Amino acid sequence: MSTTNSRKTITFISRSTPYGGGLAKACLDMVLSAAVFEQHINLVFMDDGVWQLQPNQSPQDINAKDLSAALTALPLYEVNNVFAESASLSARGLDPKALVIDITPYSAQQIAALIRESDVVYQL
Amino acid sequence: MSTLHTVNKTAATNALEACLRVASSGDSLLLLEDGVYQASKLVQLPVAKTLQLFALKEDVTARGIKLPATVTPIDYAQFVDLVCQQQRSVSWF
Repeated sequence: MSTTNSRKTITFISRSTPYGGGLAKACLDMVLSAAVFEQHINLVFMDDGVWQLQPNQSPQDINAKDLSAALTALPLYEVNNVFAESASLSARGLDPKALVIDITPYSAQQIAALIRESDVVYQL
Repeated sequence: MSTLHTVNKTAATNALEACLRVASSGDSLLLLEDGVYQASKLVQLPVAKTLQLFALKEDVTARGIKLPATVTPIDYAQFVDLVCQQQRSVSWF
């Protein structure tokens, strides 16, 4: 739902693993960029995207930057609406209370409602 | 107002499955590129009855696919119309 002409509700659905390709980082970059422009942002992790939330990542030896460290910057950008699909977490044995950042567990139905409330939705 | 979902991959990715999980009743779903290979499987799912189903004609013809009757073939101009009719689009890949 638009609040003003310039402020839109943008929902990002991140479904990619952190180091298997560039999509997870691209999604996070888009989120942070949109946040700089003071948009209303929802960030949703689902499917393999929830692997980004796994604690104790240390990708130095595969010559990658630690994406989970970047996730901890989200509150600084005032991105506070961060969700993860409950079924995606449990299917991968991830505890919603022991992740690199605080997230709100959401059902598929709740994610569907987020999409309906959004002006723009990016999935990557 | 509803959402247009597009899916452009075969079942080798779970793009369609993920899309169907968070689609709302009344939404539109367009299969394009390799997504058209999933048409016949899609129409057998109960959730398909809650959605308006489309497939991009050019991609269907190119691959020699036979579309189920409940999937409407559309061309690029109709694709543009469909995008304009919906409040938002989500591209699943």
